[in-house]
Amino acid sequence: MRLSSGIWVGAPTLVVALLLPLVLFTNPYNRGLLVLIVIYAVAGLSLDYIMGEMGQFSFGHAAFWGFGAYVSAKLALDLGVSPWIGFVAAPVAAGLVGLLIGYIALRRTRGLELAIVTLGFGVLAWTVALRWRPVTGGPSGLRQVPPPSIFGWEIRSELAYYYFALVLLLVVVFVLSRLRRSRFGRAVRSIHENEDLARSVGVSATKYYVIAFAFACSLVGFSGALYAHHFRFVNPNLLGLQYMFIFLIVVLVGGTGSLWGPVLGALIFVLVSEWLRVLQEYRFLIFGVVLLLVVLFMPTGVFPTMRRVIRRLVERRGSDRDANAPDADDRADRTRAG
Amino acid sequence: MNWDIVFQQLWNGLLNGSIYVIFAAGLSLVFGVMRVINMAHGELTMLGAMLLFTVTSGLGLGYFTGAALVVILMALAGFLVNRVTVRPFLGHSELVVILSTVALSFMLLNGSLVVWGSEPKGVDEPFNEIVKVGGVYVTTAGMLLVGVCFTAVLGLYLMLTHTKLGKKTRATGQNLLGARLIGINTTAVYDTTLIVASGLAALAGVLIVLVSAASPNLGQPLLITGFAVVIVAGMGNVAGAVAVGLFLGVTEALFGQFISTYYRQGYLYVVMIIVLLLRPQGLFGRR
Repeated sequence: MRLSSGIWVGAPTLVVALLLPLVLFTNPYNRGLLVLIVIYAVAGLSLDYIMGEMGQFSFGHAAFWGFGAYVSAKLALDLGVSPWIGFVAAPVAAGLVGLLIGYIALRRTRGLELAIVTLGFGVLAWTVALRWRPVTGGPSGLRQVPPPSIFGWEIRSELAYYYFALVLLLVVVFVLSRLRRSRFGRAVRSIHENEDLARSVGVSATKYYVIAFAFACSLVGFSGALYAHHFRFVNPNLLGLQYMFIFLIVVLVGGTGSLWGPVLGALIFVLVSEWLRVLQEYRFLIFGVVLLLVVLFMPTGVFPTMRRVIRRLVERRGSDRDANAPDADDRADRTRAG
Repeated sequence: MNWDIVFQQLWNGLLNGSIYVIFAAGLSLVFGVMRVINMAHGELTMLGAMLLFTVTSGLGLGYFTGAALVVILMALAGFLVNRVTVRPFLGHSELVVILSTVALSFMLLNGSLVVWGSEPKGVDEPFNEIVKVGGVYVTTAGMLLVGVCFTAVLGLYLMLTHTKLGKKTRATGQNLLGARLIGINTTAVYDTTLIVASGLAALAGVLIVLVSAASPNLGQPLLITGFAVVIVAGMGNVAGAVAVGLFLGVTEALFGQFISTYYRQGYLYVVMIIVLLLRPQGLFGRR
């Protein structure tokens, strides 16, 4: 996405995001949903770094999310460390473990095999969280995780935490947009496009992939810490398949390969599953149907589909004014989507 | 050492291992032929168990009639699984198919919870006598379970190796385009693959009720175990999945008896991790 169009869409979106808790989402419960959207958006962005940029898939991503949550919660509860340090320690710890697992897995496996291998690590992590009672608190997890505070004032209310998390989401988006354009980001994408070719021009594929994988793990660990200090508990479910499915939905429904996709996906997932709450026990049954239909009609995701439709409209209107060729970015997106 | 205990645990492990074998064989078959990770495989097994409960307690059918009916119905449903949740999504990225099968598993699990509730349901077994063989207590239902599992897996093996359909199936799994070029109807092969896999999953379901209760929640843990088996064996290798399923079932029981009951569940994953460290592609994986 070009910078100009990014700002034209980004600035109004930001204004809307800032106003939402004051206008539409005014009670604490609804504001809590906004916090959840931001947390899922960060997790989705990190998973999309693996799926969209690396063209790979990690089925153990939720394990890193839960791991980050546990690290930060554990530090705050046992050592009385400030959540701020937890927000740094969680991504560092998740990144280090990601480095190790990425090194083991990415040397030899790619694609669906990698998905299965990472699933294996994820399941193991979940079992450890469930069973290692003295450290993880067993099935009930850890409670009363403290919220972070600024100058002695606790960020406890949903409103405050939402703005706090939103700022961090913006930082994450900024870092990712820079990273994608950096030498490193381009090297990762070149491996995605053609690994043999990238290797032949001297890009050490495994090295770049392991680092990129660890980076994504560290980012999702950060999202996990955000979750732990807002909802103020952690339990083994956070590492399990349930959240893995949620992140998968966030990324694939939103659309891979862009920064907007996962954010939009998080918004859609949280709102739709909330709206379906009125259906009570039929909720997740209908959710499955909706999911299937979305994937059927928008297999590349909501954001890329939306963008294509809007571009087509704009092109049709502007075709007699100036016959501008589609920019390189657009073409790259299309090839990646296909 | 008390050898009776060892043999008892070998038997118990054989029961679990048989379920792992038949479950993982179907999961591995779908991956090997279609390169699809079927996240709904566990729910198909669950559906088999729950439907058996309904046809036996609701319609009053006997165990064998009911089980045969359920397996046939579920095999036919495999055709729908392919046409509704797999085939429409195959042209896109491999991940899209994972998501569509996730959607299917959402629907089946939550639909079943609506229909049957989350309470476990007991199914009447045809016979359940306890026989003492040497110092080992063996149930007749358990013997039936083991016998049917291995007959089914042997049948699958013979089908894959000795029939024309099996040859077509293996050719499609090895090279989809090549198979099409020589005139194999790959659509029909995909249909059959899911019909067989769904039937095997349901068979696992109707056999599970011989040793435990039927519950809508039995699918997910089984899926995880199934993945552990196919990871150790190597994805897509059906024969490997059979050997590993059996081995893991038996050693898991021995581990539970002699090392730690508490960490028994963790045993599978520890083996899995060791294999992943040494051979990420699995014991029988290619590459």
